[in-house]
Amino acid sequence: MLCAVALVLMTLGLFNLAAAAEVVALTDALGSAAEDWWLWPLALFAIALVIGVVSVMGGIGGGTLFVPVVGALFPFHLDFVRGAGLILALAGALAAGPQLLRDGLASLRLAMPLALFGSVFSVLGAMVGLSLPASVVQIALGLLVCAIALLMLRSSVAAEQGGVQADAIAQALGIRGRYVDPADGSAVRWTVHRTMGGVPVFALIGFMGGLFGIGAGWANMPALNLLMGAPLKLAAGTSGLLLSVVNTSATWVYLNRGAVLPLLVVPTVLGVMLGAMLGGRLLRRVSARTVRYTVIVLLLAAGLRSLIKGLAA
Amino acid sequence: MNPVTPQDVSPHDVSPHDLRYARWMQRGALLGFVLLLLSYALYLGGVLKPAVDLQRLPQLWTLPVADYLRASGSQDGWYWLSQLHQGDYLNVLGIAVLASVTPLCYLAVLPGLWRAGEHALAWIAVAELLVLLCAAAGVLGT
Repeated sequence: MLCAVALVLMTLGLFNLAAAAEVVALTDALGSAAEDWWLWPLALFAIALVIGVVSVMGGIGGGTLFVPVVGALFPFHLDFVRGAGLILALAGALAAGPQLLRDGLASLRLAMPLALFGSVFSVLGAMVGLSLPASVVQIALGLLVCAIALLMLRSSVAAEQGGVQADAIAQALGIRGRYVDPADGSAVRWTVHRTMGGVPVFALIGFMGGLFGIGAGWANMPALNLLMGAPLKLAAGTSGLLLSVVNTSATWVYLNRGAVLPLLVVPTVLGVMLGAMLGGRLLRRVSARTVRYTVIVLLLAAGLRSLIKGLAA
Repeated sequence: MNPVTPQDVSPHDVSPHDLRYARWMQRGALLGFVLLLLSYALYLGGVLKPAVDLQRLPQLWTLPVADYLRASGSQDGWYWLSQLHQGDYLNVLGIAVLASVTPLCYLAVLPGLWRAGEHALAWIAVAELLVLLCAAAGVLGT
């Protein structure tokens, strides 16, 4: 119970801290706080830490929360926030990927064909995102984040799939495997179906990832699990692997365009990663229901604020 | 074509391609993280003077990227590579290393996929490398 209260307070604190940061931004815009530049990486680190805790407990990628929250509440232009969000999602996926692959909980064979389409559309999304006015992207981001929150509110826990019949593409590419579930030690054999159906879905996810600079774990996992029939744990692991490939292409576009501010990247990556480690420990003590609703409220608040900021501009 | 159920597939543990990919991913990510942290320390510690003064950044980071580049006298593309003696640009190197991990992993598994007769996956890897190369070269993004 105490942990649940702490989590809610932490979430509210995140908004308070960011709101305070916005006040500082106003002061800064008036020209009196140029020497206080160091407050920004510090505030960003604090926000990123809380986002890391909340996002890992809510089972969504840090980027999904980072871009709408920081984009709506901090003075940084959305171009740089999206650049930092992409690198944050990339860094998280790269850090987790090796172990998931070794444990058989992520499959290169499953990720490669889907990632190819995701990458192409991620580049297109990044190009479109960097050429649109920030207000348009902000409004679209607000709508998307609210939609994700509502989706989370409506959806039940994803089904543990199994026993699906491999389609022709999965057979041709040998997309199948076996892993040992660390929870109960059972061996799980898997394959996938509806691979062709997955192609446009992952292309769309890639496009949105590049456009908004958010990680796509929230969409990858249900697409792999519910659409293609991959078992839940394999879907979660492969989602991260897919993210690392798809985000790489968009990251290069942002790097080439100069939309990466080094001052923002390190506190972001460091904060979210430390927060994720902390969140992993807290996860055992807080009920899934509390975490779920905290994340939904946070996403809705960030989405609405993003929407308002975009409309006001 | 007869459908295959999971029970019909031959059980196999983690493929050598996945293990090789994991090894390269781990090494690359570690190198990227270390470079990122070290260069950030040099940048914030003032050891290497940045191209854009830290105190000026709060006035610039509110601008869209095109305006930021104009106002700060920076350039897009691979310009950063020629400016690594400056703290902020050196920081980009760590980010670029992180963004290079995936293409390096694909390059690492490509010969093994081809030798193992996995030609379809090998061609997918080649196509992915071309997409990443175009994105990195700025062909698609600028």
